[in-house]
Amino acid sequence: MSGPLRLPGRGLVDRTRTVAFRFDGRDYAGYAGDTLASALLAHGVRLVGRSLKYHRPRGIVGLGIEEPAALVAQRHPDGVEPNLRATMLPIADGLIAEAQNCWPGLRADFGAVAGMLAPFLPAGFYYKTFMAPRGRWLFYERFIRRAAGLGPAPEGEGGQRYARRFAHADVLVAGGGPAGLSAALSAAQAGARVVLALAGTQPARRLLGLARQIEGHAAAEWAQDALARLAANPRVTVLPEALVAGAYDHGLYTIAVRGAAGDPAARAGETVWKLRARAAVLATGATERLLLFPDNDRPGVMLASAIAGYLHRFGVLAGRAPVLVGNNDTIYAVALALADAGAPPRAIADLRPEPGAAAQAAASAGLAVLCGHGVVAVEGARAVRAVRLAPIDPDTGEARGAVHRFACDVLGMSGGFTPQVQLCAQAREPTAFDPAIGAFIARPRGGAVHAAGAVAGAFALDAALAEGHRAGLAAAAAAGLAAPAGMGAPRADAGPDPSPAIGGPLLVRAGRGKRFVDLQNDVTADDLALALREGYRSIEHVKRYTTLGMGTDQGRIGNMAGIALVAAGRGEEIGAVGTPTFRPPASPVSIGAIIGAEPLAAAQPLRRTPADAWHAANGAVFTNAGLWRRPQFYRRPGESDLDAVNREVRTVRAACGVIDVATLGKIEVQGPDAPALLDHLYMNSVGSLPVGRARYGIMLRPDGIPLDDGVVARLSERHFLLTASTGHVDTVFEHIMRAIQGGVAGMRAFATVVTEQWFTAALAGPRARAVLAALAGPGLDLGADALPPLGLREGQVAGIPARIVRVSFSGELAYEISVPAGRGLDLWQSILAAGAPHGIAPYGTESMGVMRIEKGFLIVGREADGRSTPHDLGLERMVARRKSFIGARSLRLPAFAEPGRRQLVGVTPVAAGARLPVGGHLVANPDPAATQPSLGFLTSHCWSPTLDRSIGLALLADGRARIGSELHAVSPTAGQSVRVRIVAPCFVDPEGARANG
Amino acid sequence: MLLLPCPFCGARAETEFVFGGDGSVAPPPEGENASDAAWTEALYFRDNPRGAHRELWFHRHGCRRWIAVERDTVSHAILRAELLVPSARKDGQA
Ligand SMILES: [Zn+2]
Repeated sequence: MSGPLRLPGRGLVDRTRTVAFRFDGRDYAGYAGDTLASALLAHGVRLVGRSLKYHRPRGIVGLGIEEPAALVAQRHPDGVEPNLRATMLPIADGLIAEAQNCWPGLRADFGAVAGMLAPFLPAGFYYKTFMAPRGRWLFYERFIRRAAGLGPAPEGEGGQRYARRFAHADVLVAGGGPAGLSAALSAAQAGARVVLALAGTQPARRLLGLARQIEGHAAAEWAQDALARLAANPRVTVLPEALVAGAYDHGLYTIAVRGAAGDPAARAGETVWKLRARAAVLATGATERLLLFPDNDRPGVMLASAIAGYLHRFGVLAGRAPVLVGNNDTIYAVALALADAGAPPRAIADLRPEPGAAAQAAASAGLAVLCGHGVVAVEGARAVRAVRLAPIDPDTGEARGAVHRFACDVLGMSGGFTPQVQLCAQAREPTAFDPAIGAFIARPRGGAVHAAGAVAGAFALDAALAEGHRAGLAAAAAAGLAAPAGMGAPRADAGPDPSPAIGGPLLVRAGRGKRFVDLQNDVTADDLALALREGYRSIEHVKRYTTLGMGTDQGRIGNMAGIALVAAGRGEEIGAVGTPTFRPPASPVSIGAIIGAEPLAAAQPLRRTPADAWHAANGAVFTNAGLWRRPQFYRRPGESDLDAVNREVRTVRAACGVIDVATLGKIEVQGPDAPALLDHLYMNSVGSLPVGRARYGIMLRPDGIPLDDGVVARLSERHFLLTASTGHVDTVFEHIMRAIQGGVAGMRAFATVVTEQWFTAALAGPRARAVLAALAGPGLDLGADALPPLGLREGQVAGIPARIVRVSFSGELAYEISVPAGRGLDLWQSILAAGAPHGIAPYGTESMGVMRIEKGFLIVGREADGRSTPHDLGLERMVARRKSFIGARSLRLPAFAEPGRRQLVGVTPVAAGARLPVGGHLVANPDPAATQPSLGFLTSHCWSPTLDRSIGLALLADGRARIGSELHAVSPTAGQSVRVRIVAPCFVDPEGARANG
Repeated sequence: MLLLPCPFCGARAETEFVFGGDGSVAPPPEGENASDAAWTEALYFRDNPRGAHRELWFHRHGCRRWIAVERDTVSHAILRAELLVPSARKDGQA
């Protein structure tokens, strides 16, 4: 019932526990310990998915992380999780998995038509086919989006729990093979805190079925015992189902842990560990490669080592009638294992012309060995039925003799082994090409990163154990831990170690059919040849042009073959071609696990002002300003957005309004040298400011461009309060600290951000003084002499100790009233109550924006756009002449005085009712489709309820000289064109009588 | 992710810091009297060295000190880290 291809007495599955699962609408049973792949193979299931581009039928190819084809979607009660490797998905009761990339279904797939169109889908077809005619891309894109991608996008939250953990260790050991176990043992013995990341749930799985001994025990038993000893060591953390996905600077590693072990408390399905390790041992092993022959992707064509793996780990026979093909000795070990399991290969094709000792031994054991042979045809579209073998010329790859047909149900291939050097490369440690195995091996310098076992080219068991032992000690030493004396490496017996050295042709050219280099992205040997013919040479370019190795499997089984093809095509050594850059993650990590368990809001907390609850309860429509949320305007029943803004502006201009400006950045500067510091920081003179007065100031960057603007108030001789834009306060603070700490020696001044300590309300409008007077405590004189424009007073407002600065950003008589943050809501409500008889209205940022555009007040980031100088913005008269300040010298650079610079102007349509186009450019020709130079552009614009017309600010080439002239504001994307008049950048009360009254 | 040794706080993750650019740039010796060419050079031109490079970092989520770090641009090894020291110059360009 667990499948007809299950053999008795083999593997690690728990045969006492049957597990029922469903795949692609059919019910199956397997055993606890099975993966979806092993359980399906036991039932003889061949077809498990369709390929990305050609929708070719695909089956299970590999055994674990290297699997390129058998990707499935898992259905959870509340969502679908796509792109899971069947080879790594443990089955559990009730598991529901589905095939991907096929519509309407796996067996009758509509997209397979794409396979018939294959000649028209060459490498780079996205780039070539869909570019012409111009403008058609948007049309094609809709169809490509439907056809592209692998699994379905997750619904909801994907039905999975995720977590994230941070940890520290002395030594990380990546990989639980013989070398990894040996390294973990020696590092732990040296006293290191060790984290051991095990790719699966079992250690050293390749030792299963191997008639070898370590330390006098069967090798697999030794591995189990070693893992048990490590797990019992309190300094060692063993992470099963853990893939080290990224190696970053200074010993930071990310580890994706499937299953509950990653974070037992969170009961997460997947956890990302961010581990800072003083040193690491990379023991990531090697992965078998595919071979390049026609139709090497047919379901039933598998990696030879995977066939052995299913037999030894799960007691599953991948097929009863196997054929093996390879270019190295490891296929003979697979052949002998299959023969032992009662399924001797029908044939073994060895691509190497000369029979080696292993071939001769297999032949004398009665196996059919064909040396110098390769596969020239695979029969069967949805399952292998037979293969045709022929002698292959090692130089040309062409057939040179009789073809033999062998009926079979599985074809095992071995193109050699590729050390998994991804982490080594990510850690910026060297790799080196090893011609014997035809792949790159890890050669770390030996500081904090060490490598051991197959990844470093040590394939023999005894060498892997010895190297692992040495690497574990070296890593512990790098973490500052000396090894105790007398420690020896675990020793293996002198058993046979099949050599991974390769020979024979790279590519079988004989026969028809596609030779896939990348099964997941459907990249063929012909695609690589085409890319080379079209002039792509760098492996990075070839990769991107053909999409070689860009799938979730990162081309583990095919990339080296692809690189070898490119090298052959270029006539160069493989080592000279190199590998594409390995970037994290080395294996897929769920986005959900990267985010972790915290709600997204925790990653970007929402900042609320002390009066936020009042805003929310009184119709505020919020907008985001950095992390803050601020009322944009307050909508009353029946009002449109524009109605609300117009009403608020009219109320402020006719009576009064109040706005919450608590988000405004506030920085205190204190110290005897505070005046000198501020004169160094601001382009205008502020050090001479009398106590109790404030001034508008602008800070420049060293290159003379405004950094930020704000108000400087002098609270006492040595005590100043600066304001900074809500979004720029951090930058301004860093700028100030840099001037203090790295500026002039002996500067006795200090700065502190106090934004959160104060709540500030801006009260504006002709009735503002009357409203404030109703709240003012005794002795707080609000008269024009006592509190003139830019005056500062301290006193009681609504019974709260307050600081009042008479400053206007609306053009009206206005006060900024600051109180301790905890009293902010009190103040806010008191102002509204006191203002009620005067018709007060709260107003938001949108209304504030309208009023500042009406007044032509600039915003750093809009009008001051990182290119405009004080002169461009019409602020040249503020620039101090008789002092030095940051940016002063730069203002005298000739480029800043050249004609044609964009200057700040006002813009309004000639026709009273017309509106300025969003993002409009100022041009001479009214045709929005015309190709013409842009003379400038709108930086801000709005509907002015005060003037009852559309107005805007713009940066315009030689703008001040153009005032009074007419141009056109056009938006080519919206097809809009409006005739505009250029005016001075102030639309309301240019004399300032209202604010200064 | 870098681990920066703050002289006050010890080894801290890069995410606690704000990058402050090239720390090897010195204002021209003539200060504000420098030629336009010399001033422009100091403002805009930066070396892109292979190997040791001095750069500034601000420990925003820590001690709020600017530190000067010497980093190997190839290996990312941190060769030195020290507090940013004020220059004795009064030329207005820190
Ligand atoms: Zn610090």
